[in-house]
Amino acid sequence: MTAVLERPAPAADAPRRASAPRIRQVLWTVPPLLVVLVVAVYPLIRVCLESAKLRSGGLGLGTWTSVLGSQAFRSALWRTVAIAVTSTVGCLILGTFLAIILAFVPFPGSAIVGRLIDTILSLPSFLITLAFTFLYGTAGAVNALISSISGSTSPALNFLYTPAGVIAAEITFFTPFVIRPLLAAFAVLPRAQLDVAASLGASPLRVLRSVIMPEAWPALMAGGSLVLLLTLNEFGIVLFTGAKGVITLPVLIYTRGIVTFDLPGAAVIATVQIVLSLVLYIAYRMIFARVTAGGSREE
Amino acid sequence: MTEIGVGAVEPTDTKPATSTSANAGADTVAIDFDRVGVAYGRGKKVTHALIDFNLRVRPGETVALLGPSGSGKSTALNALAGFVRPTSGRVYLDGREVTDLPPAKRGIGVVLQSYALFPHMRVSENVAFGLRSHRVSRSEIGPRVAEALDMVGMSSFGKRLPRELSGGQQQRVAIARALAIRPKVLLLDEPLAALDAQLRQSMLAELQQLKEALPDTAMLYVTHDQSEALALADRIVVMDNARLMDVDTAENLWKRPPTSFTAAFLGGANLIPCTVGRVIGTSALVQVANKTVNAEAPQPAVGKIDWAPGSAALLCIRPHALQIVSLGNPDALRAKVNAAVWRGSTTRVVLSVNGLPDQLIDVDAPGHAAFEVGSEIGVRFPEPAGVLVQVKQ
Repeated sequence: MTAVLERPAPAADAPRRASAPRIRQVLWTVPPLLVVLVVAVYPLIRVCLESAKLRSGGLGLGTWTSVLGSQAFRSALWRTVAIAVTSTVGCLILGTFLAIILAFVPFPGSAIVGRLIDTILSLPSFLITLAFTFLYGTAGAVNALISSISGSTSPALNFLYTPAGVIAAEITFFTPFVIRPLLAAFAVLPRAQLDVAASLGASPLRVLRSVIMPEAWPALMAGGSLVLLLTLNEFGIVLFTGAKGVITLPVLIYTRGIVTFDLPGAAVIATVQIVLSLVLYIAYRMIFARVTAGGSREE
Repeated sequence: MTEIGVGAVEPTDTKPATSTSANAGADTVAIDFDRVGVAYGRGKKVTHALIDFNLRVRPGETVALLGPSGSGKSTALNALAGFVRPTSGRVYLDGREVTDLPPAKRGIGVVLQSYALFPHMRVSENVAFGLRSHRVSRSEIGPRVAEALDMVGMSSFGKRLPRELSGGQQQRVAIARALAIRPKVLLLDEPLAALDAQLRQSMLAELQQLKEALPDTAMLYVTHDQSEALALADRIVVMDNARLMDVDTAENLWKRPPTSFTAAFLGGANLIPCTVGRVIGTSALVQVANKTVNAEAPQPAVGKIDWAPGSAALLCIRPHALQIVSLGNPDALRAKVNAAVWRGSTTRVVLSVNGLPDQLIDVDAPGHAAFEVGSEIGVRFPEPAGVLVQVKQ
């Protein structure tokens, strides 16, 4: 009986002991949470609230209906998605091709090429456009070379200031984002699997199609999702090409917000951009989680 | 079907059969290594992984490549499979030179230690992979996959993914995958090394059954485990330092090891320095630790060893052949116990024997015998004491 009576004492202590660390944990999460709220969430909320402001001064959906119904917005949305998807497909094709060569076709200097790819990842995107201007611009090196050979005075290459120029620059800049995860996936692919596949009579193409790519598929998808996310929000390349006919959502936000001071209109487009980005980001995280889970299962 | 993939390519060169016998099946050579060498690197940094390797394997024969790590046994297998290109010599399969052929054109079944199953394919798809690569008709693939899986007792696992199988099951699938293409040559590179001891024993028994079930398939079995080699191989190739040291039947290598390396590696024999006395035929009297004992003085099938009286030799005695006796025994050599380790069915006793300075002798005493380190005991040589091995020049 005594034992029964004495039991509650330690039992009463136990929750106190457990609750102390829990409070500390909560306290530790407050500072980073505040930073995120102030730096990231609050501006987004302000953008959303700004989009609901009317020219007359009140709140309403007037700005939303006028912006979403405008031809300029629909055209920019379509162009943004078209450029992003085309660039992503281009990056996936070029990136896969280059990654396969770097990983499975050893050649002198392949290590240097690999490091160059890493270097591109660290450069700002507008530098690529600048380089494109020097190379393929109307007064660029390639046109000068063609002119000196053909004697023509008009530039032979004139694609840089069109959607094709933007796509070419984006493919050049974002392809390493596909190559890097693919190379990582190829590096962990057991050599023995490739040897056995070959010994079973599979041609190199079949080994690539049936053994290598299925195992690298999650890495390819993760790289592709990341590129789609980045190209959707790309501003520097589009701005630097100075393409008059290429108005994407980020450029439209810039034009409305900075050039014409239509902040509510810019906020509506920015909100659409945020939603698009968040949806893509969630998709990217889901694919990334699948890649990670797949890797840990194999272990 | 065996010819698919192999038959599609014209031989680059052919080698005459080793015999003119009308019964070609018995005399054809399934695998022929002709002075094969493999080296990596260039100039001063060159590493020889295989040097002047010669070996012929008949159809239906199982040959084990046995040796320590880095001895070149896996390199030999890789050269045969086409995974590495020999820097010298030639490789033949069924008399056809395959030295420069890619692995896909050789028609060899390969089973590796790591199983190397394709993780995204189900078991049946893994087994069907080789058949699809060889463009076997769809109607034939199903029965062939079922047959291969049945052969390794995995019929009910066809729809599983490799990660849903145990190590032993994965290795069975790997074997089924290699057998599905009905290869004339099956290469097994340490197939049991990744399995636990119990599973290894049961898989070893299954491989023995498989060998019986494939009487026409030549097998090259790479291992560093002598028990696997002894259990499976018709002949054993002992390798060391990228070279073939000895090749013979398992029994011959065990009973009469031609070299001290083989004697030590295969069964961990004691090699005791001795002096050869009188030799009559294949029997010799030898002087060892101030005693004269009888020993076998073997002669090779080709050539002759001169066991000259007074010459130095090594007396090869297996640890289990030595007997621990009381010091009062008239045949006993006085010895001191250096260590005693219980190994389950035997106790390995390490002894310093009087008259054999700088030489430790291993003795396997039956059961769990207790020996105090430092104590003195008697050890008795068997009759005949052992087999003579030439001292390494």
